[in-house]
Amino acid sequence: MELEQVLETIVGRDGVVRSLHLRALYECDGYMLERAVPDCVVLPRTPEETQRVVSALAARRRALVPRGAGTSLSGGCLAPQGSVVVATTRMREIEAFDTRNRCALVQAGVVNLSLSRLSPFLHFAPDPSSQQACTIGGNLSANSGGPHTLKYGVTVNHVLALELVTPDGERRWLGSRVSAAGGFDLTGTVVGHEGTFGIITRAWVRLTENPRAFRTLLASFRTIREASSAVSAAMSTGVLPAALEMMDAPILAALRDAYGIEFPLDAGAVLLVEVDGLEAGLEDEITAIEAVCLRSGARHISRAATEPARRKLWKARKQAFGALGRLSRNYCTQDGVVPRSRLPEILEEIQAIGEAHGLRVANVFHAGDGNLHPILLYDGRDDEQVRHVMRANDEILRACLRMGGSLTGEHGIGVEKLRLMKEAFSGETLGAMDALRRAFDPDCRSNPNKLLPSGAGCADDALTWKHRKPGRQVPL
Amino acid sequence: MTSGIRVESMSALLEAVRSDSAGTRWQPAGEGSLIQRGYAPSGRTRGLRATFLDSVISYPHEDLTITVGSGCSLARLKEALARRKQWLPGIMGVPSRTVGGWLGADARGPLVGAYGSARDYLLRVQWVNGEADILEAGAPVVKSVAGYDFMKLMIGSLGELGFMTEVTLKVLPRPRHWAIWTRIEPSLELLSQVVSCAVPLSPAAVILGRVSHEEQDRLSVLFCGHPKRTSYQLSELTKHVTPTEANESEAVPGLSVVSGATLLWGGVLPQSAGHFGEKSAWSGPYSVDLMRGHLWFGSKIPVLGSTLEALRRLASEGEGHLHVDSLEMPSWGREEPAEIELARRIKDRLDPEQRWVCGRQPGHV
Repeated sequence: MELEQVLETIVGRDGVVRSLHLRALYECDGYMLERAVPDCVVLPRTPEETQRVVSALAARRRALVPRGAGTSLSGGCLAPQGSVVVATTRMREIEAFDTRNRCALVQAGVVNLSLSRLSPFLHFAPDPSSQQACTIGGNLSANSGGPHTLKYGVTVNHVLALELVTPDGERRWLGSRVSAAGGFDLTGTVVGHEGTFGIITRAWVRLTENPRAFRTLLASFRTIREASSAVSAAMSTGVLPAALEMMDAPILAALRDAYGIEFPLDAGAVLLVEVDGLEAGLEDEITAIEAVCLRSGARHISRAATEPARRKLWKARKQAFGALGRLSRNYCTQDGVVPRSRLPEILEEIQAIGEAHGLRVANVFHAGDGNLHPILLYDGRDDEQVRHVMRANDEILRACLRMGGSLTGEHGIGVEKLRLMKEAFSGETLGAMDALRRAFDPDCRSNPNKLLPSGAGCADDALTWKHRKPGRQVPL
Repeated sequence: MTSGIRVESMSALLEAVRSDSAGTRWQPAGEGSLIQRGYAPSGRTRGLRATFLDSVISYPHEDLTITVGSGCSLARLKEALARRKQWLPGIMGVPSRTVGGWLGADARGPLVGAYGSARDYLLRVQWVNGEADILEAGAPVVKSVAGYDFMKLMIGSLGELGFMTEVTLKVLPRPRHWAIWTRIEPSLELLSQVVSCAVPLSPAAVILGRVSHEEQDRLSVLFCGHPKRTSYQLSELTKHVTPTEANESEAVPGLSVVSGATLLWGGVLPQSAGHFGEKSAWSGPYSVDLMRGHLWFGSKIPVLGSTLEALRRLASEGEGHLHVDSLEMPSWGREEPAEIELARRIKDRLDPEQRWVCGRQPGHV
């Protein structure tokens, strides 16, 4: 029996995508510089079906590519030739919602925001900008962040246990919903694996009490340098904000046009700062931050006086990427990290890199974490511009590394940053990473050619990329 | 474990690892405060202590990170942070003396419920593997997902995967004000009432226990942060339940889970934590974290196997597990075959020559 027929007996006919025009919907994720139409897409409905699907693939030694909602921005869902995309979006059940112990058991396809909306008292703290679409399974695979990680941490800080189907077809629970399980922290090791250890099907996640009160301010600065200097100053007040975000002039212009949000016309950059928790003391905390912003050169400070005003600001921030279509036909969002104190320096360097490549750059990012998102604007129909985007991306990330930072704060390595891994880590460390990967997947069939560059191991020469556009030469 | 050696430089450490030791394995050792955690090592094992790793290496306080050698004492670390009005909640009151011990044993203290444990603070780790290579994972920034998370793997590894040499940790602004609400000899009904009132007030800890053998049982709720907030929290809780004592202070209170060594540790579901304190009939020092269900028991004398079994049965009723810090007794309260198999594979891949201690993990991995 051919593979698609076998898969249909497991997941039903509507669970296997055969036609080319439908498979093309899975040709890329949020990283659109590279595309590859998968040979087959299968959508299991349950963890049990996922296990059977993976076992069927194992029997035929076929590579698999786990995929959630496809919101990855690093090409993590890109399918090499011969691989099968296993999409988890049909596994949408919230199996348990335990308010007493403040945890929930969710399947991988549950949408992030839908979990947080289930209770008026509890929420799932990791809040990536894509939370209206991204899935919990994807969040775990990428160790997603979001604006509120500054205070609440990233995804791994909120995962108690997870169920993983390894490429050999074994389904196993790792960790415990009771703390202090002992032994190797396999749960923490798997979170952030980018699909290279197998497919996460379910997880026990921790729920966080909703803050009772908020204070939110928007501080506008004439220049991006002033705004970025204010970030360190704000953190030195001794207050830990729930979020500290920055947006610069191109983004503000797009937001004005898209959502009618009024920003000061002469703002070079704004900081969106929020403190939250119990009401007592919040006013003092936000006032302290306001004062340092003013001392750092803020020309205008406004507070969100009401909950609708606060939501409007956050809507603007979280939907900023959606407004970019007004600026450019295409854009590429980069993700790097530097120590917070180096923000002014890196932002100037990013600007210079953009100018050197003839590209406009916009910035909207998690300034409190030092987690940058420079957005390179380009026209994808122009192959030369695409090449410049890719080179500029590399230069920005190299600059992050030079300043003691990281290649990625939350998007992951995927396929986008493979080549730079050798600049971030020694050969010995990459060898250890390869060894760790093979402990879960000895044959490297789960999401191959991701996260680790060839030469570090796990590169199957038989797997190739189908390029439709010039771009990164992905190593075989 | 046979006697160990001390090395005083990185080159000496690497030389020791490379040396032909006829099948002897190395156990990374610090002050030895938690050396009893896990099973007894299998095979011939020697302690390896690096005295040159005791300092603060780099402290860009404005970035809220600090890099220290694994042998840096927790006291030194706390002191360095206090000078900049910063702190690391995950090390407060833990029964370890060095950073390496805290991480390698995954020791937890009374603030774990609100502030998390080592895994929530370790940003970057440098370690020596069995081939005497110096490896490094993570990054000295508060957020990074580049590559696999070896930080999580090294925490609680008990030295089985290599010798941690240097680590970068996330730190936080230190709270300005503290408030402690205390009730002596609380009833079970009162426990439940206090927990339901206290948790929505975002406490730093809700702990039932007795720190030493001589004391009475005590329920303590700890608040910290902005002075207006802690005063509000304390007064709100007091409105609902009268304390025996209620104090406010700017000084960090002395925090510990038990006096002396921790013998037993683990966790249950938070909803079972209050009952556990009453039903266990433990006569020695103990602490139960009522927010997240963490447990600690201390004892100056060895416990009977029957006592241990009774406690483990009680823990499993709360879906929990209890581990023993004693090489003479069965160590791990939770041994899952699927996890043990994976752990064994990881150990085999990362330490193929078995240069590092073996057999200490669940399943004797």
